[in-house]
Amino acid sequence: MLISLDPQDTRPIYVQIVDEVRRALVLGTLGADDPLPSVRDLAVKLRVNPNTVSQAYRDLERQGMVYVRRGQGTYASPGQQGGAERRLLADGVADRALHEARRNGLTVEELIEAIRIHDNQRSSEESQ
Amino acid sequence: MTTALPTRINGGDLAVDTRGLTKRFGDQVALSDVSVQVPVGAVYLLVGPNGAGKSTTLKVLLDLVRTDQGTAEVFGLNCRERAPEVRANIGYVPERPDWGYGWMRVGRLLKHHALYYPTWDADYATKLAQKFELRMDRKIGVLSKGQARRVHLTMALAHRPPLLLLDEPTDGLDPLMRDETLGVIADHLADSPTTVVLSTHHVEEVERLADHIGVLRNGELRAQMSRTDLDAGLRRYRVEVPERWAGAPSLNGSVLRRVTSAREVQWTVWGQEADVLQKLTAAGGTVREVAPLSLLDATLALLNPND
Amino acid sequence: MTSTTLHPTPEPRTVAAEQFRAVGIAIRTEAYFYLGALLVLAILIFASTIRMVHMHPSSGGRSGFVYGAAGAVPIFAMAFLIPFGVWRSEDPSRRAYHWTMPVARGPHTIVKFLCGWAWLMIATAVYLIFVVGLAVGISLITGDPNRVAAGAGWEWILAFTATTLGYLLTSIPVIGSDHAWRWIGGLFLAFWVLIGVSASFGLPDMSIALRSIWDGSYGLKAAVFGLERWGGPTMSAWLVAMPLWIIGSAIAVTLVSYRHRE
Repeated sequence: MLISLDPQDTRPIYVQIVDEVRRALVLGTLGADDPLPSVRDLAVKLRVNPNTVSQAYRDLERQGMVYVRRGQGTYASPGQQGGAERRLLADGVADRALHEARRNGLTVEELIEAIRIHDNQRSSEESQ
Repeated sequence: MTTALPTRINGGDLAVDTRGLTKRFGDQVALSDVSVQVPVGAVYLLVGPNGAGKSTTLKVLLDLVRTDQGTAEVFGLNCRERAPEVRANIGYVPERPDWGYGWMRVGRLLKHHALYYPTWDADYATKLAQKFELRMDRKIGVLSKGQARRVHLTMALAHRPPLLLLDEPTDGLDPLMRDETLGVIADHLADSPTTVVLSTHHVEEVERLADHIGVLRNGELRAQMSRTDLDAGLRRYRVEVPERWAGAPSLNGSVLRRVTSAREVQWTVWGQEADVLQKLTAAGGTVREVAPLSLLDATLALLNPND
Repeated sequence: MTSTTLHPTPEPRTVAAEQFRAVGIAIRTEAYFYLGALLVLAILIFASTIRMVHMHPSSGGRSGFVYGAAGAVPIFAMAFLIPFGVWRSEDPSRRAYHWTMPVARGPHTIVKFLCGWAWLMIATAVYLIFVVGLAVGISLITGDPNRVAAGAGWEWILAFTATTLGYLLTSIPVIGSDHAWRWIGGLFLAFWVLIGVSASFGLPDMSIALRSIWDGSYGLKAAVFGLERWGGPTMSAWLVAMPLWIIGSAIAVTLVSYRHRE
C-alpha cells in the first residue's frame, strides 16, 4: 500500500492520511489484517510530523478502520470494503465536486446532468 | 491595521517561554516586546523576512545575545542565569556557516562536541554522518556552506537534545539533501521526544512538519498560534459582488488581503468561517468559494497584509 | 514543572582535558615551527663549535656559553605568539561556537587560556632540556666539560615566568579584541609617541614615568628578564617586578574573558 500526499491539497495532513488509508481499504490495496506502515516509517517517508501520523492512526482506530496490536503495530480491520466505507468515500468525492460546481456557479442539477452525459460518452467510447 | 490575530499560546507546559523581549542594536530595533511560547513537543515554525529578529530570538535563548528588557526561559530555566544548563539541553544549528573550530577535522570536531554532551549517542552520530555523507577527514573551515551545515546538523542531533533550534537548517543544501534533512528530522522526532523551533524561508518544505507558527516582522511578533487554529481561522473567500459594492465594514480589521476586480473579490480573512460567511452575505455578496490556505500563502498573508 | 528529563552539563574535568587536547591540535603549526627553529639553532651552534674547535684546537674558554636570563629570549618570543595559535580563527566576533557550549562562558575562556599556558610550560621545559642538551653537546665536541656554565638557578626558573608573562600579555588583546595586532601595535606607537612628546615639550617627569614602565624597578624589562636600567640581570629586580606584572595581566585576562560580547 502506497500512501502519498498531494502537495496542492490544503486540507490538514491527518485528514489526508485518513482519506488515503480509507481509499486503500475500499480499493483493496490494503487488505484485511494487512499491516500499516509504522508511525515512524510513514512520518519519515512523507516528511511529516510523527504526531500528525499518530493523530491520523488514532482517528482511523476510532472509526474502526484499523486496529492496534500492542507492541506490533497497526493493522487494517477486516470488512472495510463494505457499503459504509464506500459511501464515505463517495461523500468525499461528492463534496469536492460540489465545491467545484459552486465555484463555477453551477447548480446541483446542472452538475448531475453533466456527470450523466459525461459518463454516457465515456461508456460509448469504451465499448467501441 | 488592527487584527484579532492571536499572539499568545495558552495552556500546557512550555519548552520556550519568552516574555517581552526587547533589544536594540544601536539605533536598530531588533526585537520589540517579543513573547514566544513554544509548547513541549511542538514543531514551531518561526517565519519572517530577513532582519525580522528570528535569529536574534534564537540567540537570546542561548544567551549569545542579552536583551535590554524581558526574560527568556527554556524548560523553566532562565536563559541568562542558568545558561550552561539551558545550553546542555539545546541542539543548535546556526545560520552562519563558520561554526566549530575551522582548523579541526570533521571527525575530530564531532568527538570534541561529543565530550561536551554526556548524552551523545555515538552510533546515532555515525548513522547521521553516513546519511549526510560527511567527509570526516576534511577541516570544517574549508567545507562549503552546505557541507558545513550537514556537520552542524549532525552535531545538533546526535546528543538528542530536548530542544532543537534550527536556523535555516536547509540553507545551502541541494534539493536532494534538503529532502534528506527533512526525513532525518522526521525520523529524529519519531525517535526522541523533541521540541523544535525552526526558522526557514522554505515554508513549503516544512509545511508537513510544523504544528505551530510564529510570525515575526520588524522585531514584532505579529501572530502566534497552532496550525489547527491557523487552519480553522484563516480562509480565502471568493465572493461575487454587485457593481459598486460598498464592501463589508463589519469585517474591517479582519481582512488580511484583498484582490478586487469589477464583480468579484478574493479576500483572505481571519475569523470563524460561519461568522465571516454571514457578514459577507449580509453585506450583499454571494460567496462562491471558501478555501483554506497553504502554509506558504497563510504566512504571506500574515506577514504582508495589504490592508 | 515539565516532565522533560533534562540533560546534564559536562564534567569540568572532561572539559579541561578536551580543551587541553584541542588547544594542542590548534597550536600544532606553532609547535612544528618551534621545533624546527630549535633544530636549526642546534645545527648552527654545533657547526660553529666544530668549526671553532677545528680552527683553534686549544682555544680554551671561547666556545662555551653561560646560560643566563637572556637565554629566555627565544622562548619568550614564542610565548608572545602562542595566543594567536590558541585562539586561531576565534576572534570574538567568531567565537560563538565556544560560547554556545554548555559551560559558563567566562570560566570556559579561562580554561582554554590555561590549557594554552600548560602547553607553553611544557614547551619551556622542552626548551630548557634542549639548552642542557646543547651544553652537553658542546662539551662533547670541545672535549671540555667545564666549557659550559650552568648560570644561576633563578635564571632557569625565569624562563617559566618570562614565558608566562609574555603569554598573559598577548592573551589580553587576543581574547578581548578582533584586532589584537592593532592593539599591540597601537600600544607601542602610543608609548613612543608619548615619550617623544614628553621629550619635545620638556616634561621630564612624564618622560621618566613612561620610561620606567619599560626599565624602571617595576618595569617590564625587570619583570621578564630581571634587568634594570643599567647592569645585568638580578634576582632582586626580577622578584620585585615579575609578580606585579603577572598578577596585573592575570586580572586583565580575567576581565576580558568574562566580558559579555555579542
